[in-house]
Amino acid sequence: MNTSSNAAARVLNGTKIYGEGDTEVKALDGVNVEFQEGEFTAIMGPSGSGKSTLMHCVAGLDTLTSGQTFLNDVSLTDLSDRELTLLRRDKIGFIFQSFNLLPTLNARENLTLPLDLAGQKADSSWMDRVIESVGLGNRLDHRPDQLSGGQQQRVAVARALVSQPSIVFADEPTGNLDSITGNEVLDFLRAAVDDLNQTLVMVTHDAAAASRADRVLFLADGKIVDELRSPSSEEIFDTLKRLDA
Amino acid sequence: MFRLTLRNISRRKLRYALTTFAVVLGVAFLSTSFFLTDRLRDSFDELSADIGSDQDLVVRAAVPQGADRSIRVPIPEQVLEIVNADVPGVKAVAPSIFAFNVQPITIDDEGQLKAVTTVGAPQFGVNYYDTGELTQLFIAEGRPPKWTGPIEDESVIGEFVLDTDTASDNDFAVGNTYQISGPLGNRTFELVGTVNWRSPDENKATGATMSAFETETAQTFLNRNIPLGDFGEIGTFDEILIEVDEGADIPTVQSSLQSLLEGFTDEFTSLFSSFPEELQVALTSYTDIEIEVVDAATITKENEDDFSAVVDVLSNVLLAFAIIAVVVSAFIINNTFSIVLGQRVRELALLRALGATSRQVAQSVILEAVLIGVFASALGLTAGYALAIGGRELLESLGFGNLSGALPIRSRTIIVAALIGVGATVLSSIGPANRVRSIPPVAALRDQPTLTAANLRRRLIGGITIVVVGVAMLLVSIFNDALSTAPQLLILSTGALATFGGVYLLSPVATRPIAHLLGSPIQKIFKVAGRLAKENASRRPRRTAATAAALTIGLALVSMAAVVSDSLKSTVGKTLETSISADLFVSSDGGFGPPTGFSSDLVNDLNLLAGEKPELIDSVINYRFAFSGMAVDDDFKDVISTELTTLSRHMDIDLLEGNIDSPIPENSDGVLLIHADPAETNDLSIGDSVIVNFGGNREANLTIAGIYNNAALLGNWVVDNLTFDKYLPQAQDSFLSVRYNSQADPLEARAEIVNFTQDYPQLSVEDQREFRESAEAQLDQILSVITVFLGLSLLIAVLGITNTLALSVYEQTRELGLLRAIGMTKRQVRRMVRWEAVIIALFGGILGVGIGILFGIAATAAIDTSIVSELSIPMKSVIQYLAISAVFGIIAAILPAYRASRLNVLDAISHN
Repeated sequence: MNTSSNAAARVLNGTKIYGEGDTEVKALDGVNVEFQEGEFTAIMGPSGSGKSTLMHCVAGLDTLTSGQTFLNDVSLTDLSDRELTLLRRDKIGFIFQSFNLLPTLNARENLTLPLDLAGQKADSSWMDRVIESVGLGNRLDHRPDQLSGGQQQRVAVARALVSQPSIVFADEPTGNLDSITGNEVLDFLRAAVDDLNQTLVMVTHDAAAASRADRVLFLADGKIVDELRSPSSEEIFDTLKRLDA
Repeated sequence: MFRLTLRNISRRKLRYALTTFAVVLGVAFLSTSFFLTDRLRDSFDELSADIGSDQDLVVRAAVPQGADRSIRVPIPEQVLEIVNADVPGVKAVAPSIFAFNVQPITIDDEGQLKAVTTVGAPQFGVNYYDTGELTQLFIAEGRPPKWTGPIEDESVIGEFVLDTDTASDNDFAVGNTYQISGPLGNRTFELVGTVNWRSPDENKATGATMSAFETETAQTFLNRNIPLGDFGEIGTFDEILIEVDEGADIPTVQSSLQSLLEGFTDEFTSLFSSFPEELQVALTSYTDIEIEVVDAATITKENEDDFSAVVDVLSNVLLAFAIIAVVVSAFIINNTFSIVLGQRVRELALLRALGATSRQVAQSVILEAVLIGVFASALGLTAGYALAIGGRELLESLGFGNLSGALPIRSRTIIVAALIGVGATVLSSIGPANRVRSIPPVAALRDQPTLTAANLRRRLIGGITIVVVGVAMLLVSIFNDALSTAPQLLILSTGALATFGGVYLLSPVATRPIAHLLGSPIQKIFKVAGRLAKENASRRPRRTAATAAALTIGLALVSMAAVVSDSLKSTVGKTLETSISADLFVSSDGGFGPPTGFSSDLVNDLNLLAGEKPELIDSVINYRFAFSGMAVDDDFKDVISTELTTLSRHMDIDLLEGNIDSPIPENSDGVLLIHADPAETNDLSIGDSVIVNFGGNREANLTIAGIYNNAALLGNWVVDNLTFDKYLPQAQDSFLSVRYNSQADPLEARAEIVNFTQDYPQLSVEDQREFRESAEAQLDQILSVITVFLGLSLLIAVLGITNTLALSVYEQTRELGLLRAIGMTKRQVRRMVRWEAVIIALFGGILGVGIGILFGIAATAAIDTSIVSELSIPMKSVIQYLAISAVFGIIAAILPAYRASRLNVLDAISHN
C-alpha cells in the first residue's frame, strides 16, 4: 500500500462489526481509503451502507474492530480516550447535520470553542479571515437561537476551520437546510478547500451536494464500491441508481 | 392510565430514586422522633404510675398553681403527732426527705477528687426507711445506714447507702469512706450498703444518683432542721407518705386527715409565742404554710406533667427539625417533577394527540406522586423505626433510663408520617401537574417542546410585595415593645415565613446576575469549562433557584442560630468587660436540670478568709436562683437573691433610681430591686410596697428600693439573701463571685480561694477570661447540636442538587456529545458540571446566609435585653458556611459529573 505522505487520513483494511452471533452486522468490511490533503471528498451510499461509520472511525469518534486508521500518519488504533479527544480538538473539525452550536454561547464564542477548550489563542489574522468568511458581521454576538439555520451552519463550519485542523468531517451539513441556504453552506465549504487548502470529508445523501466535491466515494454493505472524480450530479445519480439495482 | 403511570415510574427509576430518597429521609426523621418520644413517654408514664402507686396519700406543704414545685417548703416534724398510724384507717406512715444536689465524691484514676455527676438527671439525698409497702429503697448489698453521731460535727463519720448503678459506675466499694457534698457542706460517710430504688431486684433510678442516710442524719445533713439559736432546732420532712388500711376508703381517710391538720399551723405557731420576735420572723415560712393531703392519682399526674414537660421539649425540637427536613424535601420533589415533566412534554403531548384529556394527563402526574409518596412513606417509616432503635441507645446513654422492649408503633405515627410523606409529595406535584394540563397535542410534533415558563414579571411583583410585607412584620415585631411575647413571636415568625417565601419567589430573577457574579472568577480560572458552568447554572433560573432553595432553608436556620449565638457571646463579653468588677466566679458544673446548688458552707468559709486576709480578698458574695419562685399578682417570676450590701463592689446593674443597699424600712419584710421594664409594666416606683408570694401562704411585703437598667446580670427581680433565708430557705447557693483586693496578686488571691473550693470538685472556679470562654464553649455546643440536627436538611439539599444536575446532564446529552466530539476532555466535562453545582450551591448559600443574618438580627432584637443586648454577626462563620456550601456543590456533583464524562460520544450526538 502506498504510504504517501500527502494523505491527511487513511484507513487500512478497516472492518467494523456491531453485535455478535446472529445479530452481527458488518458495518465496514475491509475498507481501504485515503483522503488527500486539500481534497474535498464526499461519501455516499444508501442507509446502512457504512458511510457514517467510516467517517466516525476516521474521525476518532469510534474505533475499528480490525484494521487501522491513520491521521497524518499517526495510528488512531492505539490512542487512549484522552489522546483521541485531544486529537479531535487539535487536528479534526466537525460539522454535524444539526445542533452544532451550544445554545448558551454566542456565535463568536461557539466559533472559538475548540481553541478555548485547548486554552489557545487564535492566530488573529487567521481568525479575522474565518470570521469574515462567516459573514455574520455584527450578529456574531447573538446566541444561536437568534440566528437562522443557514447562519448557524456557517458558524459551525467556521468553528470546524478555526483551529486549522488537518481534516474536517461534515455529516450531512446541509441535511436540515433548504436548498438555497444549503448551497450557501456548500459554497462556504468549497471555498475553504479552494482558498484555504482545507481537507474535507463530507457524508451526504444529496447528489447535488456531492457534486461539489473533488471526489465521490460510494459505499454499499460496508465496502467501497465505486469512486468518481469531479462528477456532475447526473453522473452521481446514475451511479447511485446502478448501485441500487 | 394507572398501568401507564406505573410504567412511567419504573422506566425512570433513577430519576425518581433520589426524589424518593429525600422523602424517605424526611419521613424517617419524623417517625423516629415519634417512636422515640412515645417510648420515652411510655416509660415515664409507667414510672409516674409506679411512683404514685407506692403510697395511698401524701401529706405536704401546698404550692400554688404556676410555682415551681421544687420550691415546696418542708413541713415540721410535729405533723407526725397528728398524722400517724393511730389515725383510723391509716396503716403506716413514712416521713420522707429528698434534697437535690447531693454529690458523693470519689477519687479518679489520677488521684484527683471527682464528684459524681449525671447528664441532667437529679442527684438526690434521701432518708432511708423500711416501712412495709411504703419502702422505696431495697438493700442490694450490705445493710441500712445507722445514726453514728451528730453529723454537723465534722469529725463524725456518718453512714450512707448508694444506688447500685451509681456505685458500680463509679467504683464505690461498701466498707470505704467517702466525702459527700450536700446542703450542710462536705461530710465523711462510710458506704455501708447499696440499694435499688423502687424494686428489690432492679434499680429503677437509672441516670439519677441516690444517696440515702438514716433519717435524723438526713435531717441534719440535708438542712431539714430549722435552727432556733439557743432554743435548739426543729426537724422537718419534705413529705409524709401514708399507706391506708386494707379495705379503708381512701377519700374518707384523706378528708379526715385534712380536717385533723386544720388547726395545726395555729398550734405550731403558738409553740413559739414565747420566742424572741426575730426568731418568730425566721419561722414565718413554716408557720404560714398550708398543709395538704393528696392522693396517689395527684402524685402520678404531677410526675407525668413534670416528665412530659421534658419529653415535650425533646419531642417538639425533634419534630421541628423533622418538619424542616420534610419542607426541604418538598422543594426537591417539586423541582424534580417540574424537570421530569418538562422532559416528557413530547410524550405527554402524544398521549393528548391519541385522545387523552388534559385532565387525564394531569391526573396521571398526581397519581405518580401518590405512588411515590406511599412508597417513600412506607420506606421512611421502616427506616425511622431502625433509626429509633439506634436513637434509643443514645437516649439511654444520656440518662433517660432503661428503654428496652419494643418501640410503640402508634397509629398516630403511621397516619402523620403517611399524611406528611404523601401530602408533601402530592402537594409538590400539583403545580407541575397543572402546567402539564396546558400542553397542546400539537407539541408532540415540535422539535423542542417545553413547558410554559412561569411569568417572571408576575413573580417579581408578587415576590417584592411579599418580601416587603414580611420585612415590615419583622420590623414591627422588633420595634413594637408594647406587644406581649405571644403575638410578637407570631408576627415575627409570620414575617420570617413571608420574607422567605418572597425571597424564594424572587430568587429566579436573581439567579442570572448572581450566577454571573459567582461564575466570573470560576470562568477566569477554568476558562471554557467555567464559562459553560456559569451559563448552565443561569440558563434555567427557576430550576437553579428551586434547587438552591433547599439549601437556603437549612443555611438560613444555621446562620440565624449563629447570629443569635454570637450576639449572646458578645453580650457576655461586653457585660464582663463593662459591668463586672468581680475577679473570680464559682459555679456548679451541674448544667441544666433542677436548680443546681451547693452548701453555703463555702461562702461562709470564704467570707472568713476575706476577713482574715483583706490584703488579698476584698469580698465574696453568693447568689441563689429561684425560677418561678416569687409571685407578683399571681404571676410567678424568676428571682435572684444576693448580698445587696456588697453587690455594687462586684457588678454594676446600672441603677437608675434608688439605692442598692438601702436598709429594710419599717413594716416591710425586705427590699426588692426591679428592672426598669417590669417596673414600668407593673407601674412600680421607688418606695412602693409590693405584696409578693413565695408559694403557699408565704406572702411578703417588699419595698422597691431600686430600679435598674441592666438585666443581663441578675434578671428582672432581685432581693436580698435575708429574704430568701426567710421565705425560700431551701434555695441553695448557685453562684459565688469573688473580688480581690485591688493591690493583691491575682494568682496569690486565687490560690487562697482554690484552697477552699478544691474540696468541692463539682464546682468550677473561673476568672473573667475563663468564665467567658466556658460560656462561649457552651454556646458553641448548642450551636453545633442545632447544626447537626439541621444536617439532615442539608443532606437532603445536597441530594436535591445531585438530582437536578443528573436531570440537567440528561437533558444536555446532545450538548455534551457535541462538546466531547469537538475536543472537550472528560476532565473538562467534570469541571463544567462540578462548577455548575458549586454556583447553584453558593447561590443557595448566599441567599440562606443573607436571610439567616436578617432573621438573626430580628431574633436578637426580639429576645429580651436581659439575655441579648449586643448584636454581633459572626463573619468567620458566615464565610465558613459559604465555603461549606461550595463543598456541598462539589460533593453533589460527583455522580452527575462522572456520568456526564462517561457518555458515549456517538450515542450522545444522536440522542433525542
